[in-house]
Amino acid sequence: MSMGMDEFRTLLDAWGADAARWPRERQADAEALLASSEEARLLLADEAAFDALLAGMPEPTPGAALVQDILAIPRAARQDRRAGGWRFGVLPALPRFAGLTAATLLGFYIGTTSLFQPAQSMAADTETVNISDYVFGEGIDAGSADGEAAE
Amino acid sequence: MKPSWEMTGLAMDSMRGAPTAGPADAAALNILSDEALMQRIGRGDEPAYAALVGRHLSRNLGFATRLLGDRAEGEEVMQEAFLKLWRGAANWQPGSARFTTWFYRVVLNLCIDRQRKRRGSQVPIDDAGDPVDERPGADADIHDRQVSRQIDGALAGLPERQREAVSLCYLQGLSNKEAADVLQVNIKALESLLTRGRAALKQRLGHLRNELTGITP
Repeated sequence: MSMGMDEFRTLLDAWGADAARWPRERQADAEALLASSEEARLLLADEAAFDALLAGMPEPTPGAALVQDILAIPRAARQDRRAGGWRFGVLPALPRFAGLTAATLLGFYIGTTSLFQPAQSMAADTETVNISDYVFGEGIDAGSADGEAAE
Repeated sequence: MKPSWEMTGLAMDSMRGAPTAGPADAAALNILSDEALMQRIGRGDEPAYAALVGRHLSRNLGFATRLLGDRAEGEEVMQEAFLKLWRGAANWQPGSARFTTWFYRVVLNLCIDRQRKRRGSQVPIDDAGDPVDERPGADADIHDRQVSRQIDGALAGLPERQREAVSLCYLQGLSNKEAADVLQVNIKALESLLTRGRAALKQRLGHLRNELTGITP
């Protein structure tokens, strides 16, 4: 089945210019169209520029205070648990522990930041997925908010 | 082959939690997967925790800040998220899922909770201004910062679900399946969110696109 320009536009409107994001069943037709149509190639270049615009957004640099507070969580959590479980909450106690422990772990943070980033899989997929089905089990979960239905 | 727990030589006393490893051990942690680090964290390994913070704090802070339109709230969410990570790591199930997907879901849920709490009682996110990093030392030059500000403003104007989908796919770089996992929708619903989100962004950022592509409107 061949692909027309309208369908190609629809494809780009959703998934952008990265062919790896396109549904597998449409990739071959889209590539065939690109091989034969200058208009399709121009459209693709335009979408690629837009993708690059979004992908080029800088990530914020975490401030030292935030890093220290987050690195102090394990020690604060242990102390809090000894004081009676989680009932007092951990976050309010963080400043008490943000010194030595955080300073020690800061070395690990600095030593590991940006040195390893897992490769991102860009494969398109058409499965229906529900992460809670295979990850959370009875233990760790991702929180209380319910995923709203797609608009 | 990834080194095992024993091969790295890290000696952690999980009861006392005192980190005793040095720079060489930090380098050893770098080659472990996120999931392997989670297993270590579940045993009280603080250097492994620090390594995971180093890998994921910045990009998840960006994600939370964009969803909430507020840097300070984004930072609070990150503290809550890493507390949840630390407390829940002992229950992490090896081989169950990618850590990245799970942690984005944690951050997203915390953001959704905050959005719900403030909905109707505070300034709507669309009017909350541009969630940009104003601190000295931010990486971008003035032009890039202005462009970033405009993109952040356009993202802030999207409906929440579209903003989440666009952020995960096009800014955070998650695959379609990973983004659908985080949002707990199927691929078709993700496609719908992205189509509307991209269309709205293109409309709002048309002048930037023209600047990039050399197209005169």
